[in-house]
Amino acid sequence: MNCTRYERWMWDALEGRLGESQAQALQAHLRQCPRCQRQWESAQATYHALHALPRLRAPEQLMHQVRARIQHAPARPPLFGGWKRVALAPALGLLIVLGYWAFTVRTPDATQTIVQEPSESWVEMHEQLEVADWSPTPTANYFITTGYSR
Amino acid sequence: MRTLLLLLLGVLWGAVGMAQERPIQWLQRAQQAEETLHYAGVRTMELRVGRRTQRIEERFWRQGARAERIEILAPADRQGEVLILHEGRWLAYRPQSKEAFELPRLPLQGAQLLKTAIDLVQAGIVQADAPVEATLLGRPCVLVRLSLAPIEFGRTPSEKRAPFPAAVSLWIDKQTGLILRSEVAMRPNEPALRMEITRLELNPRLTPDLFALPSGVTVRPPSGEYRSLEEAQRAVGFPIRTPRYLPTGASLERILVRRGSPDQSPVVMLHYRAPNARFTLFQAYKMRHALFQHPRRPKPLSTRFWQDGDYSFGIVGNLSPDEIERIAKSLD
Repeated sequence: MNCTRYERWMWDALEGRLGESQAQALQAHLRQCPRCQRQWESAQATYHALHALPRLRAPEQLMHQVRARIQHAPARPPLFGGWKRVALAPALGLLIVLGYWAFTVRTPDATQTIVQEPSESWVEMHEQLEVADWSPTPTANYFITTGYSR
Repeated sequence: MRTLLLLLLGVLWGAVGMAQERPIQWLQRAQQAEETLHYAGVRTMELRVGRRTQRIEERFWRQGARAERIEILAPADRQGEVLILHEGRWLAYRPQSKEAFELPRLPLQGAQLLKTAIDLVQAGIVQADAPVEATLLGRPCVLVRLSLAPIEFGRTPSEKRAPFPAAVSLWIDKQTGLILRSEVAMRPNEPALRMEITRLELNPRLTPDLFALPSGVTVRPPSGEYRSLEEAQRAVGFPIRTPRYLPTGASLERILVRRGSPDQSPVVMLHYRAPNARFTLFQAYKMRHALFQHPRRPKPLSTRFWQDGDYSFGIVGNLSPDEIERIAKSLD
């Protein structure tokens, strides 16, 4: 019996990401495997406990304090000085060439490069559309369409 | 003395009976109030998404589900704008510009939303806690909390992930059934929408001109939201791409075009709804790269962002990463 696979599916089931056939297979497995049944109950409890935790915000002053400390930190001596600086230029050039070569060889379709950093504003926009559906007045939807400020 | 005692017992019995009404009966009352009552007042609304909170304040006049007028009080730069529900359609106008536009088909609201909640409670998909006594605006009300029932196997996938928020709290006025305050959390312990009536006037004098456009106002097609892809395409200077693959039952629900400023390229948003999920496909041409700079905060949404030449794309939704990948690869 491959319990590992079902353990992995449990979290997908909790997140609502399990397909119908997989959910049925998991359900059938849970009925006949007491160990996985306990694991499922434990996963459910953990999932609900995690989602019940409050979201904490950093204090307003934190950012200012961090910035102030960075500004007042003693400056480090330069890493590359003297002859090392002269040697740095060809080394950097070689690195750039190697990097470019590796990039073009590893990504045959350069137009389909995935952007690593997702867009916060697009995620927020999607969430606004989700939330506005539950608004008791049409104003939220009207503002989403036209923008909150003119 | 005996009569007085009986009277007191009767009042007490009535009060206990009111509080013990089942949640579904309060929801039904609220639905009836939404459909029939004439009232006016001021209400505030807060939308909390990510780090931002948008606050809206509005004056409103309502004639059951038949007619409604809303005047924006805040934010300051939208003050004075008016929304009117008249003959089944919502019109928005700015008195200064003497032009109005018809809002596109809006999602469920008011009484329809309550009906959806009642149906889901009756189907056992949403559970309602026992009502709790509360007071708002000096009026006695009951707090009814609704949340998704725990996941159970044996249901169909659409039932397991009903299109309902994680939690909804409604403060329902005992006397009238009106919802005086509501809170919606899309994820557990994350209130995302809060509405509260801060001033209430029952049975106000409502004149017909409140719900009519003033003379001389021209109704134009909406800007920002479109009824069809063809209409949106005419407003955008680059070809809008649509996916050839969609999850089962998914349909295009809203088409929006957002412009940050006149010199910025527009962002097209195609918002889809499936029985178990909602997702938005974003696309832009020669977009400023700043949009991709923010780190993502963890949340139960799947995302994929990519560039194809000068075009930027993004898909955000509560779909599996595999489904998102499949949609992305099927873009025409």
